[in-house]
Amino acid sequence: MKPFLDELSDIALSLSEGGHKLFAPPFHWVCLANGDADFQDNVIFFGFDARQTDPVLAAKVPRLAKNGWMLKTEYDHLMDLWKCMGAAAVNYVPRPYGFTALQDRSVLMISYVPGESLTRLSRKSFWGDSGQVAELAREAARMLRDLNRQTARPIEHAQDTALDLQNKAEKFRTLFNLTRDEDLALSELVRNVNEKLKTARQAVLIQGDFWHGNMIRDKKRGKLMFVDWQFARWSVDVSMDVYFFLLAGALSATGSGPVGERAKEAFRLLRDWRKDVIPEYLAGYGRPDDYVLLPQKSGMMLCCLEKAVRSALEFGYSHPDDLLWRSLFAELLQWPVE
Amino acid sequence: MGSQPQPVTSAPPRIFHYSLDWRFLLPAAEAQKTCLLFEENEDFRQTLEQVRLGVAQQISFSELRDRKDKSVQLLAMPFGLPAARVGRGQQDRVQFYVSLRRLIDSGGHLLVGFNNSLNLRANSRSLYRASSPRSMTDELRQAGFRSARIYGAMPSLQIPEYIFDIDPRAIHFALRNRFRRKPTVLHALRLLSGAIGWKRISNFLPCYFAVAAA
Repeated sequence: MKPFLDELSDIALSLSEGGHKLFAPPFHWVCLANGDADFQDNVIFFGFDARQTDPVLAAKVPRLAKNGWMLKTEYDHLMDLWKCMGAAAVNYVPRPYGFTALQDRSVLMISYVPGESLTRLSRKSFWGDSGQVAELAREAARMLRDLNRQTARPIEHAQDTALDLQNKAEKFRTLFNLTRDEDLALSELVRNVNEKLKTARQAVLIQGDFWHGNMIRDKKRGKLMFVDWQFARWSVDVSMDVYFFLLAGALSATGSGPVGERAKEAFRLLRDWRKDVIPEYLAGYGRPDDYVLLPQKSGMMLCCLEKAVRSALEFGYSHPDDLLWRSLFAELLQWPVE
Repeated sequence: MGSQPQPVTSAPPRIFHYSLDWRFLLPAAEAQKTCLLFEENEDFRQTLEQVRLGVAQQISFSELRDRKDKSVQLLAMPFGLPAARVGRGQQDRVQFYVSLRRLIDSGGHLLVGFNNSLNLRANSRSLYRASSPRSMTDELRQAGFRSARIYGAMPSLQIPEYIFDIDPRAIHFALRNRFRRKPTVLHALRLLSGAIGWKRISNFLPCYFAVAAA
């Protein structure tokens, strides 16, 4: 059997379009361990062909073979996006080249997005400056709404969101010892969200992990591109994407202290952002008529709920950040109801 | 708040300390025919157990010389040659590789991680022998391996965030991109590349992996 990278090169070199090979040999690879990514995550291989100075594609491979489903989800939903948006998709997301198996592992090949990941945004000088945050937030909101508009379709394609939410709430109760107030708030959240969902007439493709770490500032056009669609799904509710961007930004502004302190710090920042960042962000997104955008409090609590149980539900283990999301959920009980 | 999480399983794998992504430099192989060699290291052993890496055999270095069977398809020494067990001379190293090759089935592969011998500071603390891409290639060939291919790795063998072909664009890409902890040496390399060029900079990378075909 050939080494894995040699076989990866063979697959890349077999890709063609309109009868023409997309890439020229030889291929060279850079394997990115993804920094502090854990073992349930993917390894990313950036491929260089003979003609270009930048990588021409990115191949994602799960560290554990059992997690190939993530890449299948990403591939299917990138295909959905390209089908809904046509050639315009190139302005928003990578192009899916193929999903295959190699030496018993799943491999997703997508186009490379040249540019800077926003993960690098400075904790203090960026996230501490509400003017800069508002500017990025407006841009992200507009682009997210564009994506949602272009994927909106009649509701029969959506998953059973009500049942899904109930499962998450139950897992949340199992994982964490909730106070009486928190338990009541969780029940009320599930009830309110389920009521809201009944009003929806359309479903859209949500990204499921819409935070700045999954955004790349395109090198040529200077526009935002959205990567990592492995948690994407069709939903009648866009709140997860809309509010996750705000919560992840606020958490990025916190230090590396105890979880409880970080949650409090993020909550304080979010409260400060109520003056300008949040109204501008939500105005940039607009108010959808046919699908659901929850009010701030329930939308943010829903995000925390989903993030706190995601590792347990998807991978069967507890991630260190689960408690952070659970703590932020508790802080958000104090958020004023609009 | 008064709550603690109830873990679903045991603590998450400690992949943060010991990345195992060098596995992708090798072909897939059955667990029974894969072998790892490393100096006794509780953290690394625990990582292997936690991620359930399909490695059936962990031969101790002392057992190595007694084994004669060609039962191994992949033999990996991710941290390199143990300084305590292999002499300083080139012939000592070649002999050691010969003893490893005897264990590897025809068509199998050996992976060796090594720190750059120019990296004096890191090597003074290491339990493993440092080398250079050229010396490593020569020694593996002398030991009878059919081919030896070198990959660069950054920032360290313990946490190789980037592993890449020795290609100017790949090196440039890896040095330009983000690290969770970007060591000073990588900043220096990036600056140095402007003076000596991307091709020659490959001799100054902090560490490497060699993959040799038996």
